[in-house]
Amino acid sequence: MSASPSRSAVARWAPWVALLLVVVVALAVGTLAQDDPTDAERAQSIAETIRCPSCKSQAVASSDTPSSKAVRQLIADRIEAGDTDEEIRDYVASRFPDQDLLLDPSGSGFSALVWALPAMFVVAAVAGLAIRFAGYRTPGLAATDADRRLVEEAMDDEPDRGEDGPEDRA
Amino acid sequence: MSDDAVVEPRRSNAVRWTALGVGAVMVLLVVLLIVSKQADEGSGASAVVGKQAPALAGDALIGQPFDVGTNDRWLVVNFFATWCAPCVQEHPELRKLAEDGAKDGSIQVVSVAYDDEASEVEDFFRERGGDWTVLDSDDGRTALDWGVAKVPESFVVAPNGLVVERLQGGVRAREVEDLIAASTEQGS
Amino acid sequence: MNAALGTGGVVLGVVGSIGAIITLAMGLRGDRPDLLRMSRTYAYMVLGGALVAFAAMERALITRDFSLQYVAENGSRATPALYNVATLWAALEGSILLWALVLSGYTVAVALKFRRRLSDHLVAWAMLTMFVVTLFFFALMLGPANPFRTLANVPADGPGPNPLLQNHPLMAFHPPMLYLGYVGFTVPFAFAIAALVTGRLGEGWLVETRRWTLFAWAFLTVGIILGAWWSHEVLGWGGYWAWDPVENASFLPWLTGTAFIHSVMVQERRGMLRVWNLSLLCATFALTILGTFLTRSGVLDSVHAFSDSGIGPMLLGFFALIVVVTVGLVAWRGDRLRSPARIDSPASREGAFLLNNIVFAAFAFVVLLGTVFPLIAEALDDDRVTVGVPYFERMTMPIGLVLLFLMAIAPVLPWRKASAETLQTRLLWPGWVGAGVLVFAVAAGARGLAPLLAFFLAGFAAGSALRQLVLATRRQGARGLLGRTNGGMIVHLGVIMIAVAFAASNAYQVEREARLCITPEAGCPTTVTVSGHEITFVGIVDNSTAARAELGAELAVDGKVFAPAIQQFPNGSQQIGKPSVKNTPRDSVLLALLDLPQGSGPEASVRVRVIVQPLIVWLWIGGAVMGIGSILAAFPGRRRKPTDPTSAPAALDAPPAAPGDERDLVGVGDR
Repeated sequence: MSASPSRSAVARWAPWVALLLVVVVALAVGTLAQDDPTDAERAQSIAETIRCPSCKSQAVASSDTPSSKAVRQLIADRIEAGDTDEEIRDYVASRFPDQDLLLDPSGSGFSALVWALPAMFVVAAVAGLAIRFAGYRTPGLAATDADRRLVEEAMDDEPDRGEDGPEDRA
Repeated sequence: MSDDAVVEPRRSNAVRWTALGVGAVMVLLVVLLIVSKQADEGSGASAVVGKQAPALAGDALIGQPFDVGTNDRWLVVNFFATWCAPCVQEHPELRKLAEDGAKDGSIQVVSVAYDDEASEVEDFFRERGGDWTVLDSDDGRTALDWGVAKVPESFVVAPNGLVVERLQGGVRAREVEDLIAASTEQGS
Repeated sequence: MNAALGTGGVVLGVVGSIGAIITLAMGLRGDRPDLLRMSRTYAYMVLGGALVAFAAMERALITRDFSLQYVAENGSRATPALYNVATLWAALEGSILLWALVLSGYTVAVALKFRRRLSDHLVAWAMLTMFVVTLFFFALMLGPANPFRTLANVPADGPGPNPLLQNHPLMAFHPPMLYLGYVGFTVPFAFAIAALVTGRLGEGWLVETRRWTLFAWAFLTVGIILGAWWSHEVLGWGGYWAWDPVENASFLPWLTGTAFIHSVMVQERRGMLRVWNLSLLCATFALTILGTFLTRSGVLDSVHAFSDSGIGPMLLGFFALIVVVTVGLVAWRGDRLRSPARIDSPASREGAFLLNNIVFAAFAFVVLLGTVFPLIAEALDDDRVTVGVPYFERMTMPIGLVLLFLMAIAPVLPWRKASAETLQTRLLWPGWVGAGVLVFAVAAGARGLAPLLAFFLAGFAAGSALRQLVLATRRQGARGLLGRTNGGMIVHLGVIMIAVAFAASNAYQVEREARLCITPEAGCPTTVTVSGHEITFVGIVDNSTAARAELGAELAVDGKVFAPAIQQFPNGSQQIGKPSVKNTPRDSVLLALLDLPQGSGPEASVRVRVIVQPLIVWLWIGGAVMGIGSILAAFPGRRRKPTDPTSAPAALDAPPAAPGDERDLVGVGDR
């Protein structure tokens, strides 16, 4: 707000560019230098997506029922045998056709709705809001150049009040 | 309460329609909740019925090692555990089934111990009788291959190796024998 | 005796509620202030009934009166005192009793707070609404959820509460906190209904109930966090939030309540979002009832679900009634709810609050949809679908990141319109705080895009919150921590701690199962090292009591001895693990035994699961900070003079106005 006109746009943007650079580099390092998951980590992440066949809602990864132990054993065996995550999940699911063991609902058929509806909700909400905003823009309220001059003159009379004036008073 | 009166009396149908829309969705939800069934057990569909029986690869805890396909009799594969109360209850029925089957050589019973200790299984059979083969569950692999999550559960396997029926919960000797008789008739 | 006393209390509650409803209805119809003022007496009567019923039940539990079915099913002679008292809310009927007690307490509190204005129609309608709700809950206790049912054959002893509910003291505090929160939302709901009915839709009623909402929200927050803490300490999986239907049921009103606490500021400042705020309050209350229905009627599987009872249809009916009444009223009054004000720019405080509300609404939508989707799929598609943790995590992760981003931006935005330069100056150092946190996390070895983004945004948001607090305290000293803005920033800091702890503990958990022997042998060492922590097997301890057998293993974690155990309660064959957690600010080591320890002396061995999770303890600290922040936010902060314009700065040398009765400052109170 009280940025003096002497400071050029470059000077004002420089710290932000530096900030962006630091963040992007750090994120890149943190994301790209990632080790491949170990077999144990893979097994854990698969086990988290399969429901324990004899429980109500717990995942295989967090229950100690015999069936969960068996599934964890199977996951370990199959990872060693070189199966992909999907193959392992599908095999376990195929063993219990009367239950839906996959905690991640599939993205096809009726269950796709559970993924799509929230997205539609957000799109509709943002669109609705945008329409309201557009409606709010009543032309008569825009400040004219004369108004701005008036404000500038008034501001020149007052001492600088620091950058956080208005909001902290609010 | 100073500003209660100063609201612009503007007509807004948008508010009305939105309110009614949300209300309609909620009412639909209520209707859905009324008609929804109580959470129930599965449909009983099985991964193995109608297919070739999976292997029984576990080590023998009691009796001879055994695998499907190496026999010419009807087979009852029973998954049980010594810690499970309904398994204790069904044991006399299994004994009857095994004894009847041994007489005419038509039916053989094989049990698979589910998440159990060998010593417990031996004690169990010593105490409650029965001398058929008991296999261990091969770290649960056997149970998983057969799609067993809860014990007791039994499967009826035809001499040709096809799984004919899945019986969840305790078995009754009579039912199994009737079932086998009916299937034999059908097949011949 | 206890049964008679308790039933008497419940009947008193029902009679009091009906009496109050009739009296208030007549008073409102005939405009008779004398009748309207009687609601206070009725409130005392209902509270008296609830207290008598509560006391009778506690007495029955303490004296082990097994002639009551509830005590016979849930109590036992061997249950220790604390858990015995807490058994009152360990099962369905008792928890309804607790609900009724808290609700009556709130009703009396409202009657007292507004004692001078009970004849005001707005207050009278609010009281009427509250009595309808008390009537519903007392009626539940006369009907399907009767806690005072008696048994013809009195057993000598009972099974006691679920073993999981009696091995950690947190269980005694988590449900009451949660109920104080749940039930507290009845008060703003009642005022919202009253405002709709009377047509006094200005900001008056909002200001009246603002603090009630804040307290209810704070209790709910603390209750939810205590529940998570309990799960972490007791369940032995290192988990604290499983997106279980019951947890979701408590989270849903929290989400809409949080949205309300933010958007209400827009209405107070700018007079906008009236319909939306009313709807949020009504939705919050309706969701507490819907949540109770979902988890208490058996339609959804849940580890928490109490056994099935006839309470389901009544709760569903009540939910339907709330929806119909609310929607009808909003549709009827909709034309009066249009605000005269406008939003000038999306880049403003109110614009940020709007976005915040969309995100919270989407969050609530995702949680509700995920919770009921299995029912929808079964009804419409005849298919069994499981919606579990992976769904919720995948859907809520971006929502959480957006919320963190908004927390970073919104506190520095001025009302009405922000310029690019304002943002540039104000956000710079919070941005660098975020970058600093990010670089530190990467240097400390944290990997993965989602957690790192979370750390960056959390640092950014913390920078913004701290900036506000620093500016406020620099100017006003310790008073700069009071008031809604500043208290709110402290709440934000609590949320940020939780977000960071959540991201870190989820992403960097290390789990290991091992068999340990006192005398090391092949495949069975005495010491394992997990993620830098040395765990050494020291010995076996037997802590059995009359109530239960308990066998534990002494395990030294970096030299300090812990004793996780396995308990066996006589009533069930179930073994209950009793894990131990070593908490440090850096990480937590959770030890859980996998089976009973074997052998003794030098032959002893034990199988143990070790889970190391970073920063877990900050979840609980963050919860406490949120609670403290809410209390600070409830104190009046620095006020603007009523004559000040609502968005332009006042002169710097103007003395702060003396805190006065806030009713005089409607619409221009502290933020």
